[in-house]
Amino acid sequence: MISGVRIRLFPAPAPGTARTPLVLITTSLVGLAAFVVTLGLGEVTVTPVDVVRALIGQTGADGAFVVTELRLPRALVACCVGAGLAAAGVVLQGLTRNALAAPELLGVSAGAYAAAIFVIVLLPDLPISVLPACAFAGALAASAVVYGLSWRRGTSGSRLLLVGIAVTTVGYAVVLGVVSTIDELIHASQLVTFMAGSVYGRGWPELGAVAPWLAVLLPLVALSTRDLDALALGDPVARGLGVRVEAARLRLLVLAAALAGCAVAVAGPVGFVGLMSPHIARRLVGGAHGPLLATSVLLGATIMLIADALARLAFAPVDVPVGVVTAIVGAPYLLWLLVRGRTNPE
Amino acid sequence: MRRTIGILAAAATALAISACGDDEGTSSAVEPRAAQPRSVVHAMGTSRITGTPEHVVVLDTGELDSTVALGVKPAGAVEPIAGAGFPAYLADAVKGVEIVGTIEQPNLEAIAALKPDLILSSKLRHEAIYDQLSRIAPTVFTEEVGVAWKKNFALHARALGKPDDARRLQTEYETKASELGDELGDKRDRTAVSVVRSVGDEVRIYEKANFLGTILEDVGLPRPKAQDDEEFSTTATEERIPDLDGDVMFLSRFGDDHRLLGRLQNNRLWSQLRVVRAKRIYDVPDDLWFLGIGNLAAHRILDGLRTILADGRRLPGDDGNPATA
Amino acid sequence: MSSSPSTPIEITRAAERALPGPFVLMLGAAALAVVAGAGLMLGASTVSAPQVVSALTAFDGSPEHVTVADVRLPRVVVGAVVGASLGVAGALMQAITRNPLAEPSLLGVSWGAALAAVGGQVVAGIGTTAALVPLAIGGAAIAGLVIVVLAATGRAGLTPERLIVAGAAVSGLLAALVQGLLVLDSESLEVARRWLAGSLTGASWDALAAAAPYLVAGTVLSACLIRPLSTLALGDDVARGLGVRTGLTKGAAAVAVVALAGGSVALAGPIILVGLAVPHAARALVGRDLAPLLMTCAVLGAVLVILSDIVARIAVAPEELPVGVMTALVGAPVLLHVARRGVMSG
Repeated sequence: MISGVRIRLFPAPAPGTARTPLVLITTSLVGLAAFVVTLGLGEVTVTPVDVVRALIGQTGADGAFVVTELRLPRALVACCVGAGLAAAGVVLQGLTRNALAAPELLGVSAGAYAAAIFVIVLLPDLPISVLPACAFAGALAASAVVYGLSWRRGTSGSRLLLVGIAVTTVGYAVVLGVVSTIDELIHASQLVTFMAGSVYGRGWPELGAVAPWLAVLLPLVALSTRDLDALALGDPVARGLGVRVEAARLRLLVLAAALAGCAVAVAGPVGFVGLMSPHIARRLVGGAHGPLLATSVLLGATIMLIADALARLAFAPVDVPVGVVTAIVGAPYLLWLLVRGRTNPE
Repeated sequence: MRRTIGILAAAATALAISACGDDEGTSSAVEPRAAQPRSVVHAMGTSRITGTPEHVVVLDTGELDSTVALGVKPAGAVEPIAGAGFPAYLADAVKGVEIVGTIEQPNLEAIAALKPDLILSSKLRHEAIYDQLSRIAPTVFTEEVGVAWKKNFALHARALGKPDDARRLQTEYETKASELGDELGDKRDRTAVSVVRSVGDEVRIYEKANFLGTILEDVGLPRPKAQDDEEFSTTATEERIPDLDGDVMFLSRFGDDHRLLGRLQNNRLWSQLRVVRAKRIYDVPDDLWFLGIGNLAAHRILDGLRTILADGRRLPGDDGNPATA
Repeated sequence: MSSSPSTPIEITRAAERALPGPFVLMLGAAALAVVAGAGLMLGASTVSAPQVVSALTAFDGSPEHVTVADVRLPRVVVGAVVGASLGVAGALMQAITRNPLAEPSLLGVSWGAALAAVGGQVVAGIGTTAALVPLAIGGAAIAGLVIVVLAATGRAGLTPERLIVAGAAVSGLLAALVQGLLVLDSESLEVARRWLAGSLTGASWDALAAAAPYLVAGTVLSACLIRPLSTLALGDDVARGLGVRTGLTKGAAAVAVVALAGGSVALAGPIILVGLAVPHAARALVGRDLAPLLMTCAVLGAVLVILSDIVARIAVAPEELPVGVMTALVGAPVLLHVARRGVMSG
């Protein structure tokens, strides 16, 4: 077991809790505004008013086709991916009691990505709609491996994290090995693009692949916030509160794997959203996992919307993978956090 | 009385004939502009297309070649990589064609803005965006690209409503290829063709299962043993320099910065190759010989092969020095 | 095996368990010779041992001789140099951070170098390795600076696990940026392979000459730091009491790491986990005494990379795998082992 220094992850019972409804409303409004504005941006600029008109079904409005058929499904997919990754981040950070935990670090994203790659390479005739399920399976398998390898008379948050990093590193190396041996050069370059995380060309089928999962998983996570709150206080205290610690950790890991898995299946391993959203949310509403989850999910969706808009527009007509934008945005933020020692938000 | 009946009969007959004539007109096989939409079966299902589409968007170089070969100037097309423009051999035929992204990532909004009536591409490249493309316009996909170009040309022609033109062009190509083969005759046995392409920092040895491979086969030209496989290509490394050898080498460059090719050429093993010593390395234009992938390019490549192998000359722009691009 | 002895008895016992340095070094040198020989013999085609010898001594221009002397020899030498540099860099990092999981690729130093080099290549079109070397060093320096700041400030909340997690997050970020640049320049998978997983293809004497000044400087600096670092291992306060300038020592060691890792990345890309696996193996053999440890790391690192490259070249001949895939497979068990045991601050 790691030495017993309890890593303080949360501030003391905060005046923030009273702010929660305000924060939620503001975040929702910001998210909605971002949604409408980004739907209007692209080759054809559509005013927000026309965007709303198009959304409510007035097909005659200017640019309605572009908004409803091309941008809307992509934006919705981006929101789902952001929400899923953010929720996974909340769960993983609570699970490991480490504010730097994220799906891309715990092997979950790597497992999903590796599974998707294997399917694409070894079974190229399978339809694309099968990928989310395969990615989920990969994410679960990776989590199982991480969990199993961390088991030493029980698991611990830190060990999960370190083993996760090991599995992620190896997972990506193996995938690169596979990509290297592909004869079909066309697939190879597509895979490198997928590797960076992108929602280019994602449409209604992809939305249909990811949204139902979220509809089931997010409520499940919401039900687990109590367990997360207990775990945050340390294993002994959690047990004292009646939580079956190992069972809870396993359950939460599976949930996180499922959430990240379906996000990665559709968009590839987009980084930093799962890391940043819970962070920012924590500064707004404090560490209680109920409000934290809700705020993180909204933030995650909003961040993805804005990042994808930047990805589409920055080098138009070339579509930069959204994972690169999130990395560029996340980098200064993360470094600033680390250098100022604010991995323990006060 | 008989005259009246006669006139009436004649008039009736005339009316009948003209009526029949009208029916004939609407269902004549000669009439190119059919009124009803036709179903075209392709790799992603069936699409319904009306008449001969004139506002076509193509998402790969093979499709671009096909449309131009059939006399249709596309409204929009993609470039192979960002900033490259369209293959140079098409020149004026594609002046004014709108660029709608790259092969890797066609820009869906730019395509939609053109309001096309047909989109052509392949399942291999763009399966992931077929759904969205088919919402913009009827979309026809071939299964793959490259080696299946003849089949693909026929499908493109069906989609464009010009199957007869395509058949004619293909027959012309086949004839031209076998004529060239006959002309070269026995010389072919001593003309094993090595195909080498430098793509940025990578050098590929092209084997038989690709566009150029089929053309060489149609002319009856043999390949060196190392390239005599039904594969697309393999990667060349410094250790594999002997695999690049043949009686003749066609060398091509795509992109910039051909560092590996430079290293290969500086390697002592390179100077020991038969093709190098016999000075039979020919620079060939990449956009025509590798990107074209269509009937029009195939015709021009046959012309190039004739120049090099039958007439014994070099192509314009080939100064005989393999070290220069 | 890599427990951190902290009490005097444990330190003595550990020293007793260690094998004598000179003995290990001789064994290592022999292993290096064998492996290097294999590297010259094996590849897309097998060259017999006598032919290898005659290629090196009586070169006659035949295809086999050219393959050995022009293609494989530089590759083996560069592989050895890179392996030795990364091994030593890893040992240094573990010494100054007192963290058994510290190493150039896990803490982002290698990725910083890779990002700078890819940036130079893709954005500015810089072609020759010689020109990329200063860029790689610069990138490594910036990434290294971040880590040094983190480790040196030694805040109460910064446990060794957190350093690793922070480093992994930084690595992930930098790797994402590398991917992004590669996507923009998707002509060549060879470039992608090199900069995502490390590759010795195209190793040349020119490149080695360009990187040599930095590698030599790093090596010399490491040698000079052996005594102060050994003292530092007793604890910062003790070391200060003994007259060691702790800040300067750590800073100088960081400079050495940057030179060694940056130069290696410029030559072969970010070959991951070498700096992790090698010090652990070396420590198991010769104990913690820094002088024999560093030398053993150099030899073992060279052996590891050459061996990995041989496998990379013959596993899927005539295609080549990136050498980083092999080192990842070797380094992963080490990483997992340490991760499971728990990282104890020494």
